Amino acid sequence: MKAKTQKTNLLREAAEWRLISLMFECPVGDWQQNVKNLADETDEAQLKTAAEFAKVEASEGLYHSIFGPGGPAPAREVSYRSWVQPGYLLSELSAFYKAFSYQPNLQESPDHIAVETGFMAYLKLKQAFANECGDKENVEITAKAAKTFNDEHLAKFTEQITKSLASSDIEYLALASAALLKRVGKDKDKKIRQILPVLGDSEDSFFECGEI
Amino acid sequence: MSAARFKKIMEDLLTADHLELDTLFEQLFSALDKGDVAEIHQHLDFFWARLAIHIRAENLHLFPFILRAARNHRKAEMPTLEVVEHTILTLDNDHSFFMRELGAAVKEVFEMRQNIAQNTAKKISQLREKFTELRRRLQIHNALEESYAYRWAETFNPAEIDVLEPKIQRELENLPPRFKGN
Repeated sequence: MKAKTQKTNLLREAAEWRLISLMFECPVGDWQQNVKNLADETDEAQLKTAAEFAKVEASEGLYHSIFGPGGPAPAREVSYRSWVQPGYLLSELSAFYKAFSYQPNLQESPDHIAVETGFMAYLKLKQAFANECGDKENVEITAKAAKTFNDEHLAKFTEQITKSLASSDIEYLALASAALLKRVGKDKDKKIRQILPVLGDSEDSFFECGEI
Repeated sequence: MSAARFKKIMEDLLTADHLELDTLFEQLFSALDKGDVAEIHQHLDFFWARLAIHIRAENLHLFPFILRAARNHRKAEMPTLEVVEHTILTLDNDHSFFMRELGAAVKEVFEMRQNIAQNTAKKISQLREKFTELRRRLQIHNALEESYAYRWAETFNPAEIDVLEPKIQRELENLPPRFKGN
């Protein structure tokens, strides 16, 4: 009974992550139908409302006007991490995806918010599958990877993108990003980063010369 | 009274914005003439951002108001709901086209800036062709908006105008921070 509940929870979580990911994709083709299908899989009011708004608001032009190059809410992690080398970031993300055979069917960069949230949905699905097979080791591996990926990537820019979208007047994106922030949480290293390169008063306040 | 008031609002805000956008487009063409990639990028980036806020003002505020008015309290000056919906859809498709094409052009020019190498003249010539087509479509699009969509908005009642005007105004002033000094 407990295992069944866990499986259901994981599948629901995967569907919710995928719905969030879809909200950050360009709304073309079967997008509306896919949003509707995934919204049926969740009980979360915020996501259901986002899907309702998406029906009337979403359009390709509006999407590009927000997420296009130099737009008010950049969709790529690299835009929020000026202190990280873009090449290093992209290669780290690609290594993550390769390790779990994640091959997103999207014409976006590996650090695009739709690709990163899609990866979280994929990991939840993998975790559900491992759980169903009774493969405890892989359940733990995927859960740990999801946590690491969340803390080291999504958490680094979700709060900022949520803030930008909250004032965009585009309800479905404001709600989707708020639902995302609820899952991702704030960046735990933010304060440390802000005080970096200034040395603390109590420790390491001077550089000691080494012996020759 | 409200029709005249809203006519003035539409002229002061959105029609005037069309004229400003056309001037910016003209400046972009001048930059293409000079062939300086950095200058092209600067003008294109600004034009793209300005058009984006104009599109957001219409897609998020004006169009939903027009559709709601056509569905709920259509006045004699307005055509049938079917015509209104079809026109708004056409305008929205144009917006998608402009944003998609300009976004791709911004990326292209950005790459040209990063990689100052061969074929710059050829690439600029291709951009000119693209922008010429885009400008032609934008002019037709603007004429359609000014002749129909903005005119239908003149049938709104005063309460609707009070709600809509500040929303459009705020959106048109909502430039990305890097342009605040422009």
